Amino acid sequence: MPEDGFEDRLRRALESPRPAAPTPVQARYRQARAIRARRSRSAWLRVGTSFAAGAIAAVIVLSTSTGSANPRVWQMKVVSTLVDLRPEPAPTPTSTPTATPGQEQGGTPQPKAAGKGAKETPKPTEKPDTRTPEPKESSSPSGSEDHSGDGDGSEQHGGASPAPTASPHPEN
Amino acid sequence: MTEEPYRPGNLDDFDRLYRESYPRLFRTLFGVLGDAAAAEDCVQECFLKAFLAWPKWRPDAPAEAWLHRIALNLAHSHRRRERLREAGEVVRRLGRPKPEPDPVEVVEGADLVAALRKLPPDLATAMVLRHYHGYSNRELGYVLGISERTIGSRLARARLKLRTELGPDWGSLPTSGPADVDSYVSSEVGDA
Repeated sequence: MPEDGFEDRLRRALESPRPAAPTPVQARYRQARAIRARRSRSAWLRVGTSFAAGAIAAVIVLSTSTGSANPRVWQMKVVSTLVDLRPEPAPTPTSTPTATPGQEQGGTPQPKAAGKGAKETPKPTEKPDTRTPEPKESSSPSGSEDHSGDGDGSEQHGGASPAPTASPHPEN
Repeated sequence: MTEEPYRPGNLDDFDRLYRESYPRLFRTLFGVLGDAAAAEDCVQECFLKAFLAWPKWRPDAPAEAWLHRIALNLAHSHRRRERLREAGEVVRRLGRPKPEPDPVEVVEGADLVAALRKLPPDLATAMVLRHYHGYSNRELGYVLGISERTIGSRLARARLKLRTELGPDWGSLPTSGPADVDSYVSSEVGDA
């Protein structure tokens, strides 16, 4: 048998079934491509419709809750709701220790009061300084002041005290 | 006649490739699978896979050889599945006579197709690509994923097995090619 005898028979055997005409329109890859394109289109459509539905639902909820169709009213309502919902500011940490009863018993308020007094001390010291001459003039017989005057303050008061100079009155 | 080169990713070119390669791919797979419906299914699946990879295709090998590679991988998987299914059917049919083949399904050269089907898929593929499509060693090496040097021995093994399957009625099989069947047979016999 010649060499091409086998190839002829092979050709006849392989070409005996007639395959469907290769039209790309009916090919599986074309259908897959169409399905994919349809899917992507429907995905965008789904996103669009869900967005529109959300917007419509928001409009309905806002208009029913505010009783108005005015978007400005909705905005005010939304702002006020958000302000109401905002949590109140937490108490400062300095006030919480004073509220505990254990520290009140320990006498912590006292140093605070002392501290306040210490801050205010300059004012009382200045006031007695300005007022000291008045009691000396009015209440001279007080012994305590006389003793103090004999001490350190003798020099201060000596120059300004007219008491010894008042002795010429009997002379008048 | 000048053939326009295919451009990767171009849809019109892929359609053209489909029209030009579909019948040849179908016949290769029919030779390997021995079933027209299965061959058509595999070819369609092959074009689907190729279409997905089309933008990345590089024209370093003929497009049809690339398609053949995909199609034959699919055909091999199909045959593996088919063998498992057949084993299940044999177990189910145990004791009953095998049904006669439908006369409508008997086609011209059915015995040759049946003999090809009995070959291992890579041997049947080598026979069809060389003796039906006229593929060169290089193209065969690309499609089968083997070196050009091994193609000769593979073809010789295929011819030997085919001769065993077909019997003396088919006479001598083609002996042309880098490794001729008679020298292969003698070397096999000599080794034995």
